[in-house]
Amino acid sequence: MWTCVKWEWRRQFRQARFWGSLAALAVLGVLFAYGYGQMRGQADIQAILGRAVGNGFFVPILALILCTGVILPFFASVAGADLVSGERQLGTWNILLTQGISPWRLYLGKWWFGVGYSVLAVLVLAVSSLASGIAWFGIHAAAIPSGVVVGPMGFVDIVALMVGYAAAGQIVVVTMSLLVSAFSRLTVSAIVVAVGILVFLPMLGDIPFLAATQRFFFTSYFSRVGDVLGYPVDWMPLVRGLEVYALYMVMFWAAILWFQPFRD
Amino acid sequence: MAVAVEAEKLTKQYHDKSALEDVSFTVPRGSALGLVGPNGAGKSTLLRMMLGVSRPTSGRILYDGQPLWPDPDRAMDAVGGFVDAPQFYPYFTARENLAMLAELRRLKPGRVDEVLRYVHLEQEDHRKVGGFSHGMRQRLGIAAALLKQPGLLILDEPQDGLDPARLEEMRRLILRIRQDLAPTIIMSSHVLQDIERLCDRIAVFDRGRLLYCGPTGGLGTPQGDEVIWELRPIELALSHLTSLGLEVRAMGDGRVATFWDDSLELGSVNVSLIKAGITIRTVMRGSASLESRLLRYLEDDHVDMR
Repeated sequence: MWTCVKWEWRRQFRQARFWGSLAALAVLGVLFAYGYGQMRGQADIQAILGRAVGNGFFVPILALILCTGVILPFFASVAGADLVSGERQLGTWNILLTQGISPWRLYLGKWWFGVGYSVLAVLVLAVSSLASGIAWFGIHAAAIPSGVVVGPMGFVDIVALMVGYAAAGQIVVVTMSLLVSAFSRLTVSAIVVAVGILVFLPMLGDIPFLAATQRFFFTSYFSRVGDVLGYPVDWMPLVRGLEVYALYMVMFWAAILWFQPFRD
Repeated sequence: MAVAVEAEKLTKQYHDKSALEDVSFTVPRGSALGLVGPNGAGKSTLLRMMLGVSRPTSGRILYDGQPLWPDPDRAMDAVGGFVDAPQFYPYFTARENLAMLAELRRLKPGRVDEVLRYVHLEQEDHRKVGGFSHGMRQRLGIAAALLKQPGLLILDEPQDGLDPARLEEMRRLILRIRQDLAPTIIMSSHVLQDIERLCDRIAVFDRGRLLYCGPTGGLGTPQGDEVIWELRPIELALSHLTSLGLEVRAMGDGRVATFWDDSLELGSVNVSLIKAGITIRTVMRGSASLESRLLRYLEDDHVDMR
């Protein structure tokens, strides 16, 4: 399986869209620093981020809070949806099967790539926003919304925790997209379905008499990444989110095991 | 002769449409079987199942007595080939594409050099496949198929889309594989001359049914001569020959073919044509080609080859 993972990474390295997506996230991090610099005097930003804004650590925090629910899932779903359907569309899936290479090995290799890409995407956004935030505003102790003053090392913990939670959410997205991809022959249709699920689930929860269903959808837990900003951290919402993520992961894997859509 | 491939009552259905219906045949070890039939006859469906790309709805395939399904990955150890046009990662070089397949199959890295040399792509091994011509991709497809040193080689229209020079190259390559490696070969093709030249057995398909499977020489009866005229005007010629009681076939290029009945004398038929005001440009008499015998066979079975 690790040979499959290695070649999947090599394959991705050769494609401009892989580097393009990471570059876009890196630029986004810098843009967040710029936007934060423009808006930090505004009262609503201060209300979100606390009294003592102007700290470089707030840039990745802001970037992760705002991107975990929309932009990062979009990148993860597009990346995941292409993995099998893209090979089918290109015709290379058949060559792999005719060599007698187990589709399970290939699928697992692609999933591990998806996991790596999800973590990498979150890291690129976090590191670029952190680096540009530090360069722009410096680092120092600052008060978070609860009023507690947190030192630089405390902020490192907060950012690390946010990265971990955001990455967990993206791993669920990429697993879902990979499942969709395994059923699809065209990349575009796989992307439309995967992104459609991400858009549809929150909309379903917005319907008044279906509001109670919201807590069952993994998309509802993306926004919990902001709960990390409390200090000390309130773990319960995060743990609840991780439980739901784990449940969905089991469901997605059960679906692929049940249907095995690798061959016609 | 030992049986290399055995198909038993193979059926493939897509929703309510039957792509292959109750197909059974055997292929002796070391022989070459050519699959022919009109488009949509079920040839590629059969090859997809034989290469583990598609599951049969019912029936089974045995390679050396071992069933292909339900564990095709293991059974494919001694099988190589491609179905549809072979596709590779365009951003990898020829060598990288093969190295990946070899590594995933846990083959010796040196095997890549051997197969690249064998298909004469060793000079192009560092070129990205995206820049390859169709013929080079077909050869790379054969190289990939040979990686495992297969005892059974399955090729889906390997000559498809090749210009005449590349077509001849491909024929020679397949002949060389037969001579050097002696695998059992199953290949589909629309080029009947190639089937005649490269294969010793033929399987004729139509609408998902297997009509004939056996030696190429055994296809169609009677075995005998065929006469091909080039005549003008063609409509008058056709009606005149038909009025003489001959079953004629217009070949589409001003030529008319018929299986020759020895009770008739060719000279007197030619005289009768000239008397009817028909110009004879050429006339040839010889053994019936596979194409003629196949078309006759399919006509008898009411199959439209278009």
